Amino acid sequence: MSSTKNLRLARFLKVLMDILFGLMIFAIVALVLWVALSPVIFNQAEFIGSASIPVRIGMGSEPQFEVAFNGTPGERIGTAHVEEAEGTLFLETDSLFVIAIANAAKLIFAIGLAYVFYLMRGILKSIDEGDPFTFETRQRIRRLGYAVLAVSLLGPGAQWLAAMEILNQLPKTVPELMPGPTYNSEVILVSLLILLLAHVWSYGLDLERERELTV
Amino acid sequence: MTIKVNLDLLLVQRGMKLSELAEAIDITLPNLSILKTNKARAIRFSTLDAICRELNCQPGDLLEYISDHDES
Repeated sequence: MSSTKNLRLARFLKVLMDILFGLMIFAIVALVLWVALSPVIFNQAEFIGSASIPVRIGMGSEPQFEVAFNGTPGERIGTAHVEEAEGTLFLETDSLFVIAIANAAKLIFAIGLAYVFYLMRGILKSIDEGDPFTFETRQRIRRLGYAVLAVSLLGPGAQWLAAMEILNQLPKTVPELMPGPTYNSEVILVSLLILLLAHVWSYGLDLERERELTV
Repeated sequence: MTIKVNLDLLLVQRGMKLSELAEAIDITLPNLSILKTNKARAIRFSTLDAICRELNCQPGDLLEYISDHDES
């Protein structure tokens, strides 16, 4: 029976979500420890690592990879490499500010993802229990949409901030360097689709309630 | 505006219990209870027909319209 198959799939996905949620919690704890211990490590090693920030080169449709600096790049800029497939130049830096932003962005992403897995676990659990058409599930779907939207906006926002900081340390270049590709339109679209689904779910719940109260 | 269901009154007049009516018209007791306690949002014609047949009454005996003015 297809319903039995679907239930098995739901159970399998719930186990998968349990594992992913556990992994994200582990990643969050590791990141928090790393951020908390960074000053101690920096004091001892005088080097805390580096962050890689993508920047866009020029305004044209074709990417250009030959960049001329009018002057010397800032001291904080280490190496640079080009991802030709993306048409993006990555500048690497050991600037504490940029590293802090990069870690904060990773932390936000990990927390957001853990919350998404947590909500998906709840939805799958309600399917497993045989009653997914509840107001709690509607709330979970709605929160899922907002969480995906927040992660898709906050992460690139932090990346843009870091790119601006690193570009401010560079002298004027030809062609001009700008913050790299930031917002992922597909993820934003997915979050809007989830919110739309939550709205449809809400309408379905009202109909279900109507049916239950019709004698 | 409110539509009031006078099922409890009709049952008292007929000396009938809610469970007996539920059994007679083949409707679950919880559903009939929803109707009796005025929690129902809608009533099917088939349900109305069964209740009227069993209680020997008119739909108007079962349902009563109360306007906002009357309520206040």
